[in-house]
Amino acid sequence: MHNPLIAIVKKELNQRRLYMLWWSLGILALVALTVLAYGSVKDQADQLNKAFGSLSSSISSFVGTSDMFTPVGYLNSQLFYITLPILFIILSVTLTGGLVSKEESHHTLELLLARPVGRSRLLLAKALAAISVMAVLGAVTAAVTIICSEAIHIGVSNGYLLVTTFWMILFAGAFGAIAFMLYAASLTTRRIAAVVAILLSFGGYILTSIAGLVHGLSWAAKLFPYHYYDPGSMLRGKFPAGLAIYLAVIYTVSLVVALLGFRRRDIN
Amino acid sequence: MESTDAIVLSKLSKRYGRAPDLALKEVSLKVTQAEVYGFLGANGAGKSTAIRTLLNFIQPTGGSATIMGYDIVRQSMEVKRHVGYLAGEVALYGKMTGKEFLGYMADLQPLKNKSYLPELIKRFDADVRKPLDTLSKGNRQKIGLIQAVMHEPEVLILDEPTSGLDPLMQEEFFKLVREARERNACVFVSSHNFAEVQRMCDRVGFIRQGKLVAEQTLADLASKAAHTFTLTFADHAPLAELQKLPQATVSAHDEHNATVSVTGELSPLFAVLGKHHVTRLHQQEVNLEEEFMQFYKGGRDA
Repeated sequence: MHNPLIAIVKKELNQRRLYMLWWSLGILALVALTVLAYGSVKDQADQLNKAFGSLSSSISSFVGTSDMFTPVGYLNSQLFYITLPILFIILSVTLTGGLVSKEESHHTLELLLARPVGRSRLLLAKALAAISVMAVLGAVTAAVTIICSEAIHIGVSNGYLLVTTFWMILFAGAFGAIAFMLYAASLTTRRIAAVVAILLSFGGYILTSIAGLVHGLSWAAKLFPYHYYDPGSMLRGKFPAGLAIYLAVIYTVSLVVALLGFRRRDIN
Repeated sequence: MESTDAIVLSKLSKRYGRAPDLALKEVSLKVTQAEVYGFLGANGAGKSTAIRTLLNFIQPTGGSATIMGYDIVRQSMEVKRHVGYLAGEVALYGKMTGKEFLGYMADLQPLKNKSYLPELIKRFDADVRKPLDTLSKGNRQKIGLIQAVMHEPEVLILDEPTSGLDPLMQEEFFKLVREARERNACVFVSSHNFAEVQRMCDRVGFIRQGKLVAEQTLADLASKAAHTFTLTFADHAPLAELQKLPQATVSAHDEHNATVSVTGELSPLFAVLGKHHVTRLHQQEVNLEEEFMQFYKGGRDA
């Protein structure tokens, strides 16, 4: 059956088979090594936690937890708070930034737009392709985390691990959505769109980390997504209501602005 | 067969960003179905801007245009259902093979006749098994042409279509254009290749600095163009008489031969020839390049 949207998504995924394979292998190695390494410190968790607790509170601000050696604290500080978001933010920003911009700079976008596809549908297809790539890599991350956690009997619910991975993917994807919006609506070049999205993420991380230490910065931190991202609570089964609302706003605004801007702008 | 308008431009204008000048200045023209229209102009004259505006890749600053009766901006999707497009610089997905690429294009716009695609591949002897980035310019151009025509559109918009094609394939392309015209399709060709235009177009429009400066049928152009004869005389060539002919120039001569170009009425020339013993008369093919150059250089503003 003739469905341009599915045809574009299929083509994008097909073109990124190797890309996804390499990312999957990288994630597999990183997650497996990190989680399995906990097996060697698990028995000294109490002692290590006491030692860590005696350190400055600024350090715990930067790793996102003060109980770094409990199972939840370890997974939070070593995987979900910084490492995985960094990987997935870079992935989502480069992926979404390139989906339209590469076609435009290679002039293949004209091939698509010369056919009865429609700019909105084309953009939705590109967004769906990005979501599919993120979903596949998110599934790999969740699967490896759960399998390795089971292997060392880490004691964190598989359901919570799955849900935390899901929110981490959504959180990282939001920066990709921002880059996508900035480029698709022609508000900036691809490079600037990527820089803005990455600055928003890491700027937000630094601001959130120092907000507790520097008086007067807490209000500013609330403007950034990282303020609402607390994987430690998610690993304990808490629903991240603030993050959900913040992400819903980011995704909706990004999609609407991207669609409106892309429909009206000149193709280079 | 009744001809209806396939492409209509009404004072179509385009300004890029804050550029002081319009890239396209109130261009108005009509192209009917079953007509091959050549859009001629030098590089940067506005040919591609007009085409990209027609295809809604860029938004018009003023005026309007329709293709098959559909507004190019408000009904762009409908327009695309009727159009086949070949860009000036053919851009393809380099990692795909020709087969994968044409399959992808067919997924985006279904073919009316599924046997037409393999037929085109065969006719153009296109290599569809290799990745597109390994093909030569000519072979990529063939793939570009095939994707533009494979769904048998009612309107073909082609930017420099024969670029990179060898003479055999150019011949095949001209045949394809004739077939398109026979099935009532409109062909809008942007070019600065005079021979190509002369070979296939019914009518031409000249664009200079974003402005449509003239439109002519090829038949009109040919009738206005100078007819050039190479004459051989048994005795001395009557140079004085030939030079006195109205609207005639003698471009070359020797004792027995003379090359004469005449614009318009030919009978004065033949009256002179009737008085002499002419052993050979050869008429050169009408070359419209000179006519085109007049427009290019601005000598014939409409």
